[in-house]
Formats: sequence, C-alpha cells, structure tokens
Amino acid sequence: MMKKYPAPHIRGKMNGTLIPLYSLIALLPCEIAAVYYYGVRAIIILLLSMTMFALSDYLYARYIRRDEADWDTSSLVSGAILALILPPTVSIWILMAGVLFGSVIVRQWFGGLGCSLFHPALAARAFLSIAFPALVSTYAEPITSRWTAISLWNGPVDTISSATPSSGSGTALFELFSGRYSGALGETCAIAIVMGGIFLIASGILRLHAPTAYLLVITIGYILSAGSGSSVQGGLKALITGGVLFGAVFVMGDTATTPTSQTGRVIFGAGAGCLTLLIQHFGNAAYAVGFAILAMNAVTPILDLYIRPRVFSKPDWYARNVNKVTALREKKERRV
Amino acid sequence: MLPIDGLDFSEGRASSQERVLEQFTPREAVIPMLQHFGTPAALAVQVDTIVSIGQMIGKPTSLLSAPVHASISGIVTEISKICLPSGITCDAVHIRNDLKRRMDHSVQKRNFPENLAPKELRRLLLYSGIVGMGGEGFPTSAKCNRAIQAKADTLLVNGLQSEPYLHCDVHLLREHADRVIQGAAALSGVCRTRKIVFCLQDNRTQEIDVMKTAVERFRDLYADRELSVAVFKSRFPQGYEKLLIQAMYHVELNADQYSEDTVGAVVFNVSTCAAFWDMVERNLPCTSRVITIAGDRMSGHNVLVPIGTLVSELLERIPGVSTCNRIVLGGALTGVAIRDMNTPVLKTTTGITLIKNEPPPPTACLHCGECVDACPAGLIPYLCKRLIDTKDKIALSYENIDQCISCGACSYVCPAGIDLSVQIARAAHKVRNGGIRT
Repeated sequence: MMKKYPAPHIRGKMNGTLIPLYSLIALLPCEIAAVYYYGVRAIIILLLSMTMFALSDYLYARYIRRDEADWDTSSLVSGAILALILPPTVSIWILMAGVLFGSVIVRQWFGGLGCSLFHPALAARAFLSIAFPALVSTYAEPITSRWTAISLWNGPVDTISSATPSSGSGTALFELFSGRYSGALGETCAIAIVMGGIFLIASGILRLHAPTAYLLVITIGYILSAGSGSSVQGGLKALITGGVLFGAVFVMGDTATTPTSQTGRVIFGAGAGCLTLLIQHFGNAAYAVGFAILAMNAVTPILDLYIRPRVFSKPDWYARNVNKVTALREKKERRV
Repeated sequence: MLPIDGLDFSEGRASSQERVLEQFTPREAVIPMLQHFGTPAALAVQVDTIVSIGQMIGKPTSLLSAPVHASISGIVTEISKICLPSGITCDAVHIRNDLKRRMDHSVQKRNFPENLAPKELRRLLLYSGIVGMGGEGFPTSAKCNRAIQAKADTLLVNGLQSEPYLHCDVHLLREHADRVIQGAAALSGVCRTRKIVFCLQDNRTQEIDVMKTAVERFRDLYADRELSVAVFKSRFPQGYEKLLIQAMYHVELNADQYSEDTVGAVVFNVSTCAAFWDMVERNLPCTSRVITIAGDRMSGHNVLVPIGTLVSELLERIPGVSTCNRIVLGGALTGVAIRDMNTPVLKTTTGITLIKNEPPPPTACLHCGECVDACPAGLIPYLCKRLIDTKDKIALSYENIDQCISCGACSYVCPAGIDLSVQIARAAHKVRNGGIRT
C-alpha cells in the first residue's frame, strides 16, 4: 500500500523558495553599487538590515506559533530593500526601528508571508520619514574614502549636503546611469537596477504589467509637464531619480502587495504613476514613489475584489457585477 | 500571456515514434464490472467458467451501462469485490490466462464492413461495450442516442491529447489512421452526422500530414460525408470537451448543457473510434487498448494491453519502478496516484505515468495570481481555497465553483505548491451534487 497523493503529480518550475532567492540575486548589483559608493558603512547597514529583518520575522512567527514558522527567505529580500531605500547616513537605531516596524507590524500582524497589505520595506521607510523626518531625509554625497565607517550611531554626519535626491540639479547623463549623486543607498545606480531587472524578467519572476504601466505614466507626465522643453535627458532623470526605477523593478514585482489579475496590475502601476506625479508636483517630493506605491497597496484588495476573470459560460456582466448580485441575493434571503 | 492561453508542455517532451506496438500478454486479468459512467454490468459467468477473448462476461443493466467482455482466454478463478482508483467498489472477474489466445466464435472478419446499415451499426455499438476511452467513460451508445435525439450534424474526433507524457492517441492517429477514420465514419453512421472533423494539436506536425493524406484517400469511399482535419493550438488543457467546443465554435457550455444540443456536435475520442472499427470489421468488442507508459525520468512508449491487466504485472519489466514515488493511472496532471499496485487497467485508462520527482513542501500562499491566469474556467483558485479553508459556504456559493473542470492547472503553476485543484474539485463535486446549500 502506498501513500495517497492528490493530483497533479508534476509541478511548474517556479517554487516558493526560488522567488526570494532570485530576488536576492537580482538585488546584488544594487548592493555592490551601494558598497562601491558608500564603503564599509553600506555593508554594515545592508547585512544588519537583512539579518535583523529575517530574525525578527522568524522570532515573532515562532512567538505567536504561526504554522509556517520556517525560516522565510523573503524577509531577507524585504530587509535588503529597506536598507537600499534608506539614506546612507542613517543611524543604526533608526534602521532597527524601521526593521521592527516593517517585520512585526506590517508583515507579521497582517499574517506573514503573502498576506501583508503594504510592502514591508516601503511601509517601514514611510514610518521612518514620518516619525524621524530630519534623520532620514538628508542624503550624503558618495564618499571618496571607502573605509570610513564612522558615526554609525550618531545619525547624519556634518560633512554632508542636505540635497534631496530628485532636487539634485544639473546631473549629467553619465552620473544618472552610474548613480554618482546624492541619494538613497541603492536607488541611484540605474545600470545596477536595470541589470537586476533584466535578471528578474529572464527568470520569469517580474511580471511586467505594473512596472510598464508605471514607467509609461511617469514618462507621459514628464512630457506633459515639461511641454516643449522636454528632452531625453530630462525624461531619463524623471524615470531614474527619486527611486522611480528602483520602485518599478523591485517593489512592484512583489506578489503579496500587488493585485492578482493582470488588469489589476496595470491599474496598480498606472495609479501609482499618477500619484507619484501628483506628490512630486504638489507635495513633498522627497518620498513620492514610496507613498504612491503604498497608497496603491491599500487599493489592491479592492482591485482584487472587483476585477475578476470572466467565468466560463457566464456572460460578461456577471463577472463584473458578481458582488452586486451577491449583495442582492443575500438581501433577498434575509427577507425570506 | 493572455488569460485563457493555457500551459505549454510542448518543449522537450517529444512523443515516442515507435511504429509497431508491443503487445502485452498478462498471466492474469482482473476485469471490473464498472468501467464506465452509469450502472455496473451484471455478472454473466461463474467461477471455473472457461472464457475466450471477446466473450461477454458482464451484461448491461440499463440504458446507461455497457457490457464487459473477457480480454484473455482462460478460466475464471475468482469473483471478488475490488476498489477502483476512483474509489468505487465493484465486482471483478479474475481470469487466469491459458495463453492459447482462443477467440470467441463470434469474432470473425465481416465482408464489406463499410456498407453496414445504421441500425446494424447501432446494434454492434451496444454490444461492443465501448465507452469514452479518453478517460470520460461515458457509454458511447448512450452518447450516440443523445446525438440522434439532438439531430447533431458534426462528429468531432478528439485527438488533442494535451497532457504531458501521454501520447497513445497520437500513436493511433499516426500508425492506425485508417482504423480511426473508418471507425469515425462508422460512428457518424450511427449518429447520422454528415461532417467528420479530426482535431489535432499544431505541434503534432507528422500526424497532421498523415491524417490529411489518409482523409484524401477515404474521401471517395465515404462520398456522402465531409471529412476534414482541424488544427488547434497546443496548450493545456485543450482536450476537454467543453474547451474543444469553445475553441471550435466559440460557444461556452454550461454545466448542464450538452454540445449535441447547443452546437450540434458530438465528440468522440480517437481510441473510441479505433475500438469501434475493430467491432465493425472483425466483430471484436472492446477487449484491449493502447496505453502509454511514461515518466518524468524516462522516455515513454505505447503498449497494447488487454483490459484488466494488473499494473504490477505491466510494470514488472520497466526499470526503475521501485524507486518511483508515485505511480499514476492516467496523465501526470489529472491522473490518480494508485495506492495498490494490483489495480487493473480499465477501458478508460489512457496511460501509466511514473513520477520520481517529488515537489517541495508547500508554503503559504504568495498571493501572486498565477492560478487566476492559469484557470481555464475563469475561477479565482486562491480565493476559492481560502473560502474552503474558512468554511465560508455562502461566499463560496457565489464563486461559480461548479465550473471547475479539475484540470490541475492551478496546482501546477502555484509557486507555493498548494494543492488547490484537489480541494476545489472536491468542493465543486459537492456543489454539483447539491451538497453545499446556502
């Protein structure tokens, strides 16, 4: 007598442990660029963020006795992304606060892997920029001596420029691509991000719906706002700086916080693009991308609820109005 | 990738090209009385009866039933109750092979089999015990009656074997094209349809050529019928009757609709047609079929197997069986992993798949939506699974879960390795039977 197995008996190539692993590999170019520009400090921030995020996820899941309390590789990805979108001058206790907020509140309180409403790294970054605005909105120029791991505890050092990433004017094309301007730890180097993105697309993890819609809307917004004065360099600047490209490649590919339907993902990307433009033009431009994506994360459950595939042999309106039908039928039943 | 694109299994899985079938001779055959959809056949033999190939050992008990014939010659050693892979228990006749290959006296070549009258053909079909041999198991005579009542005018021959590893229908189309075409023509005589369409996948280029030339050859013989070959995109799931009708006519059938009524088309499997030609030509009922023995670590081959051959005996000479994790009756996606090696091959068994690779353990749902894209029925499998887990029956009843065709595509694509299709198919079965009421 053999064990009972349910069908199907073969599985697709993709599995749950490969996705975070490939994402980590895709983040490597950005991490290398961060280390190249910010030296030992970047290594310490990255490693600390990743290990602390994974550890706090694991311990909390063990503490509340979650079923899937295995070591979860995807929390390493969240930790790495959090480190890469923080300014390089961030002090360690602020980083720890962000890690705890991201892992415990955003990730574990909402149900752990695959259940979080907001992207943990972005939510942690948003939390930090609201709670400690002065400490996380100053960006350092890339340093020249890479061995200065100074002032990890004291926060911003004195020798920095206080420029926000997207306000750095006059950046040349080469600097735009290489990322040699003041900005977040790993968001600046476009070449590294594109390399990671190509790897993700080639390995079939990054679904292109949301990122394409997002970048398209940003480009259209730039052309509309710049009018006749639009140039290729200006367009590229709008696409690369401020974490737009990083968000499109590494954050919009996240499975838990983006809609499940393809149409939903396109709406997600387009909505995030519109919100980014709005915040950049009328609000605080420092963290427009993050807040825009977080806002669309909040819309994701609604998109999932209302955008449904057409059910086989059912008319189209049925799929669209299934929730209305549900409500009507329940009302009728209650009356009976 | 479009939502209704399906899965692609064409890469790296070439079908075997053997020309001559290996014919398997078992020592013993266990022939269950229920190999079809409907009521089980009634026993017509006792212990120690000497039977010959083609002798009827089970009589049909209702209109929705099929007779059962001895597939080997020998002596009935035992009549016992066995449990089929579907979980249903029924009587089974154990026959010990005397290796003489004695044919029943009724099995003999017929003169001019093409010229039989529809009434005569219908009688033969009733006697032959042929059922839907693609796995459905619906008695073919009952299906023909339905087609006659609905006045269907098209007969579709389903050669879209889209599951990975299986290629027994493809073998029949390539090597026995004449049998398939003449069997289909005979079935169209029963159903009184004018058009006959052979449906193939576009990746079977060789078979398409073979069928096209064979159809040309038979055009004169069957001058009153329109024979044609239709080529479909290769995708999984494609072979399901509803999806075939959708691809052909752009009509989506409801759960309670039949293709005969709505589009006037009746669908038969390739193996069914070939088996009916044996009946018409030689008066040989459904006693053997071609099955594929394949696996994820071996190249497959096709074998002609008498119905009732035990899986354990069939796999004796296949190397590497003992190291297999799962032995699956049917395809790798929809088949049943058997627990008892002494399970017989039925009329509906399309193949035996040997699975060595064990999938990694499941993790939590990643909410990625791959299953939504994969589902051919337009369900939201991850949501259905969540509702089943939380036992939210009211919400579940509005998810149209009864549309599930249990193709297994959602479980196949799931990166978290969750067994979606099994639970959804089970719930769908309950809904169809009126189990979940709101």
